[in-house]
Amino acid sequence: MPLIKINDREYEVKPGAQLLQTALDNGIEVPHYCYHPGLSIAGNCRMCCVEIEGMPGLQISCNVTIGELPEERKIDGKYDMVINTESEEVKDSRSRVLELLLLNHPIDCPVCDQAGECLLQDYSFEHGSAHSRFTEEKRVNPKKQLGPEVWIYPNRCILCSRCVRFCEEIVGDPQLMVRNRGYSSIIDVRDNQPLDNKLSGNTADICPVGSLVSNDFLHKTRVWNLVEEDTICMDCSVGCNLIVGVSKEKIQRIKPRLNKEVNDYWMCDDGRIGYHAADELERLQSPLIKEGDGFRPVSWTEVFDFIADKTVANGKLSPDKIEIIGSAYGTNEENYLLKKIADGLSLPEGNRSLYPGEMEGDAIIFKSGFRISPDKTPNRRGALDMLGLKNSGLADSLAAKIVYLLQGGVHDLMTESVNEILKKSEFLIVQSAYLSDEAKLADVVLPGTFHYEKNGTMTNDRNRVQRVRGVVQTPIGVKEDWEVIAEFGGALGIKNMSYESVDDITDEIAVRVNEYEGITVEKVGSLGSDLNREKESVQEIAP
Amino acid sequence: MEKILTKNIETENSHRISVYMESGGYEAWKKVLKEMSPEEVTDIVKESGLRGRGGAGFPAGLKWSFVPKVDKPKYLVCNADESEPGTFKDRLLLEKDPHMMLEGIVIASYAIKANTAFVYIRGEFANQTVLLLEAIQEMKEKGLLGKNILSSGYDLEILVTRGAGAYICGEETALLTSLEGKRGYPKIKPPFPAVEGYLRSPTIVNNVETLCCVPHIINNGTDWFKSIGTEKSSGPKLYCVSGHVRNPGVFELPMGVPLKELIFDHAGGILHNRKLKAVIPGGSSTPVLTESEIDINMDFDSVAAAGSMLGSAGIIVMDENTDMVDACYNLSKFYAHETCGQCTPCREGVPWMKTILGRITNGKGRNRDINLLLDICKSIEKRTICPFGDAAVAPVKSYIEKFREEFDYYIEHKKSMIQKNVKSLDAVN
Repeated sequence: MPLIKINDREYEVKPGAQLLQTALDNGIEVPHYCYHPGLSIAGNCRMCCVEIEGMPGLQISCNVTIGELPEERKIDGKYDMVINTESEEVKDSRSRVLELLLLNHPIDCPVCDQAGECLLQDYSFEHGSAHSRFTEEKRVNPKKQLGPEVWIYPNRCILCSRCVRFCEEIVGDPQLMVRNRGYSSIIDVRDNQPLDNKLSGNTADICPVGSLVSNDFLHKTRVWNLVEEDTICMDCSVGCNLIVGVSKEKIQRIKPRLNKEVNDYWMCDDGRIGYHAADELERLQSPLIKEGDGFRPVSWTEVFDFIADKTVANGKLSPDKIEIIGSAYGTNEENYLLKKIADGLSLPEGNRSLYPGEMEGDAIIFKSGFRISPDKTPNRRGALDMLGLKNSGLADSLAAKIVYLLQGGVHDLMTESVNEILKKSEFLIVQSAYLSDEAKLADVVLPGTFHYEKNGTMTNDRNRVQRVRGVVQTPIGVKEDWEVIAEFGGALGIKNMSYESVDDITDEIAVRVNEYEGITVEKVGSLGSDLNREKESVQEIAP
Repeated sequence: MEKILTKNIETENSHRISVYMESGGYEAWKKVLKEMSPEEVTDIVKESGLRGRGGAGFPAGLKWSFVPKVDKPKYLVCNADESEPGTFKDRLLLEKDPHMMLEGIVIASYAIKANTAFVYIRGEFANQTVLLLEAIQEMKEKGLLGKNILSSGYDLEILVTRGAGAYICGEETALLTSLEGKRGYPKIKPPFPAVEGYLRSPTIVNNVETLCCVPHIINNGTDWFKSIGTEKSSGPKLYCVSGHVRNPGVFELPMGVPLKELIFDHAGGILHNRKLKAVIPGGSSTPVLTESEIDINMDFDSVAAAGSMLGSAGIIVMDENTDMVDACYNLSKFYAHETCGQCTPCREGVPWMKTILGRITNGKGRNRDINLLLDICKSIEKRTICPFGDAAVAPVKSYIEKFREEFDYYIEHKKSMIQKNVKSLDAVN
């Protein structure tokens, strides 16, 4: 193991480790722009220069690999490399690079979306000068929308080429390029075709300055007003890890969160703007009971009394006449509670099912291996596991049955055949965030949550259990889905249906469900935990 | 001195293979194929002390020996993208004796075990490209190139690629990215091209003149080669003299010829009998020398000792009428136009220097401009991916250092200090 010294402290590193990343990993700040751990080394910004003993001048630390020196060449008899990241020469170099980067910069921070999380701002504050020696005319280029998700403000660009490399190396479709030469260089789309690949939004994320900005987030709010929460994406079965920025109780933007096992540094545009699906929906704020052609809003007490009256009262309950339908949009906890109800009512094996059914199609796989699944439900794997099912899809007939359906997400999936099946049920309870097509057929509608309000865990299509955190509050009068299910179970006379928090259910799953044994809240953590399952023996849901 | 590299240029049809072979051409190639191993060829070139003629003066044989023994194809690239201002020696060789260069290419390819060689030729050299393609065809017809050359079992193809007009593509890593069909950006080192060059395979890039020396070394031996020139800079050299001289042109002389002899004897002295003011010794990217500094020999070490560089030996002579501020602005315009724009200091700093110099020559200079220019030089120097930054800085820095009073005068009086010596001009007319 090479031993190195950075600013008088010793570090043991792996042979072949890259110097800049090693410094960053050890909490040593080395300013940089063009370096991104998910992309190839460009070495063009010249900001990450450091002093290395025995090497002439300054070296760009992003292009230095640490190796082991032969015994006789070790520095001070033991070091394989001695680095100074804070010498006067290094500091001078940084301020020189910054001056040059800012020559033509419009300094329009007050109207720039990047302000507050801008590396130009941060490093200028630390290493730059308040005065510019540049008195010539600035280079000016108009802003332009490059594609549906991304705008470019070329005057703010420092030409670090992260976005160009991203399109080449991660997407595998070089839609961006540097146009013109030298001083006139400008980032632009190729052949006048829009930047419309499914990962385009990431270019705005990785832009270290305010040059590429998100169309969705454009001038929405200042970033320091955002409260950022970790959760996962629920727009397909991959389950990308996310940071969701919320202000004024609304989601303002979604960015990917690093998880090497799932999504690396990236996410797709569908997930990025997927939260808008709930924008136009009229949320249900109280339970509804069918009356004539319409619905009558009722209280939670009344609705559960009504359900009890229609089901358990007067011995109406015959287990084979009840169908419980879980949701591939629901959390493991929600589906687990439904299974618990089914077991409590001693439902026969066939009277549990999962909605919606399988989604056909091919996964989109990008050059880096990043994947978008054709299955747009986030938790089919987990829901099947919780419900103890092999396949999803409604039973062929629900005739003369009391049916409970958890909708669990925002979607519009009802087909003619589903409509026919649901219609034939004798008494239909639908739990949904809004008056969906399915809910319109119901006798009782229980208000549910929209996905960014949910708490619990989900299992992605590669058997990784990950935490879902509610980043926004449920509207007044609406409870979380797991709470509603627990109360629903209580109304049906099921025992042990009261929980303090959703985490208690997660921990109960970690005891009760075979392959989830030991996968407690703690174990899942922020990056998830793989199931105790032989990977090969599992049939993957998505190709 | 007996002419070596330019021995055929006066001969009619010197670009034809028949003329070349009559004068002993391709004997070295036949000898190499018959008698020598690649390692032997590399050793001889190493032993000869041949240093790269493109500008940096790196020992050619040593460069060849850096090619790693890996199971990857190896490539030889001949850098014929001659575009350094003041340099026109490779053009002469390409035009008058392409076969000498081709013989150098095939021998060098053999030495590094390459089966593909490229000639990256400057886009503006349209006629030379035609001659080169014809010469390659002639070689093939004679069986000196292609599969199983002269029954030796060695295969070699030579491919010609034309540049598209960017000066930066003369820099070896930019040349390689351009050769790969990409935007001509220099690459960060390490890795060096000898280890990872064209298509990430070991690649050796040599200048036209360097390669032209190779057949002569094979034919006449290392002792003969070392007997020409100085101890550390051996062999013949083509010097390009241009500017205010009576007889500008390319002169073949040994390494280490006195600069004064070149200017006053070979190039005929200063035009119109004016006084000499300054000399750029090695192409526009090298620091300028004043009249008092030109008593030097033209070899790598002597010019370096004088604070400049032999570079490509593109000697630009300036007489007393030259406005050094304007000359400096002129060069900075060239560099500001040619910066590739990849790395920060060069992309932003070089055009900034040009703008300031332009302002000064427009009579709008400020007192602080000179120090600012020198400080910008500091921001660029040694901080860029490739040597272009240093090249762009060299003229500005050396002109200001050595002709400071002219810059100060320009700023103070808003006009040039140089009163054109109209009288002597009249005398000629």
